[in-house]
Amino acid sequence: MYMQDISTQLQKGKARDVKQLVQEALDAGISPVQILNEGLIHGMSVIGGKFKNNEVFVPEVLIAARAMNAGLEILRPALVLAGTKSRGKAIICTVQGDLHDIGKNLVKMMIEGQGVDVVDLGVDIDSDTVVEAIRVHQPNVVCLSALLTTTMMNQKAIIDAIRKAGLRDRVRILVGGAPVTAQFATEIGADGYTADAASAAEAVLSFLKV
Amino acid sequence: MIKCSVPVFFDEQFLGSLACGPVLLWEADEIARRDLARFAQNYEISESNTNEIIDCVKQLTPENMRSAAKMLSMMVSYMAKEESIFLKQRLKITKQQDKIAELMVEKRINAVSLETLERRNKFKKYPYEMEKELVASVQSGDSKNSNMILNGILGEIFALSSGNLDLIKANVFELTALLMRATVDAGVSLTDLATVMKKVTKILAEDTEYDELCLLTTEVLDDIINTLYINRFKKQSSAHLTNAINYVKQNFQDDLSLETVAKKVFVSTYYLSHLFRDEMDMTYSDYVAKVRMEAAIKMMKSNKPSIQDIAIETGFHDSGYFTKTFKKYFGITPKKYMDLL
Repeated sequence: MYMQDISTQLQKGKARDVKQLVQEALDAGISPVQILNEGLIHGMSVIGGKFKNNEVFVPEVLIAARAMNAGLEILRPALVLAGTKSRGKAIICTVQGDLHDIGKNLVKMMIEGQGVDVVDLGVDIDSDTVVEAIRVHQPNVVCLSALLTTTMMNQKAIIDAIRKAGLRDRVRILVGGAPVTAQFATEIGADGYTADAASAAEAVLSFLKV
Repeated sequence: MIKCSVPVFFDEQFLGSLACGPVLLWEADEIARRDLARFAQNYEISESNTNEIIDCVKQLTPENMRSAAKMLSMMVSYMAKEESIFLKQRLKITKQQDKIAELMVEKRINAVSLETLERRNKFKKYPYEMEKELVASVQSGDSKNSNMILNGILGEIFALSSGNLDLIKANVFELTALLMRATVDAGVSLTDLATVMKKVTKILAEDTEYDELCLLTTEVLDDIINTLYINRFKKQSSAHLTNAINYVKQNFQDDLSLETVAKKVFVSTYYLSHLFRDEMDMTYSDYVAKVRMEAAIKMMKSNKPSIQDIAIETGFHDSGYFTKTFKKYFGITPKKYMDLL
């Protein structure tokens, strides 16, 4: 079963094997979304769980993340609608003080899969950089990711900075990350919150329709 | 390519860090070569050069890397001759924030549906139930459980306050006040809570950030649990003491030997005599004498019976012994005292 193998090899950090298996699974006609959820994301959550229990440590997480990215690269053309006119533009980043990027990368891919251009600012991004990026790229949507309780506050800081720069009404703001909630999103003045990458992509689409 | 680094502190000043690496945690496969080549483009290094570079880099397994990091960390702490207090605190803070985030995520996952959670959140319900749980847990002295409940409450406060630090501080302050009240209710004096009060002041201080605030609250909780524990010890001994004192006061006309009273309040004679010496600062027999003499005075003032009667009424078989004890206690004989009245 491909899914099991992909998950296992990802956990071992075998990037080349994951790449190969993902390609084989695609060739066998398995849906990219299924490969993503049951293969790649599954493997990553197992590693995440072990990391929490101190069964594995940062090096193991690093090699698993690498394998994940390798697999995602193969999936990407299948997920991204090729040759369609761009439906809009989004900016995405992980906020200042936070280095987590796997979730962000997933969301980016899912958004691109809906035919939306995405500018990825990277991780540990401060308010000034976001404001500048909005001026330069003029996106429809800004997506902010934060995985720590301490960095969640920076989502608010960035939104405040956007407002201060007079750009708030030019963009819709979407926030996400494990401890983030819909209420938190509302209170800090975001336009929306989603719990996973797929619904994030849908939220972005709905923003573009209005 | 990966490096591991350890910060170097001396006298709580950050001097710099020692790093070891770079190493490859994986094979120098085509993915790795391509990634490095991409990265090197920004620095105008050719692809053949990047291949050379990558071939020189040592490869380690994750376990090796972890050992290397551990060794480096041990070396640095040996050289710095002391473990940095700042680092230790940062570690505690990070661990606590992880736990809080975990609890927040769990809560979100366990919500029947996301809508239910949103509906609940709309009413901004403060976790009063959890607060009650916390007080009960603190009173039973369970530190581990109390800390877990506290982390849950801190997560709820965080979510409720939507990152508004002042609001968070106000809520946490209220929580600590509640705990302090429960503690004082249990008989602890405010002076025993002096360190707690200091930490509560720090919680409210302007420069305190959310993660430090969480750690301080945890420390306040542990201080309170410890104070309650010590106090309970005191309370138990004072319960025995109170029982003994009451018995003596009510039965001074009877036999009040240490053996008899100790039996009546279910403690050993050894323990009882030590209780009196430690808590009342007098020997047991001194205390009994005190109670009897005070009773004698009362009787003398009220109906002026004979010294013989008073002696019997206060538990002395022998009026001569009564007179002797009276003189020792008041400095004059009972007869002279009665004449003075």
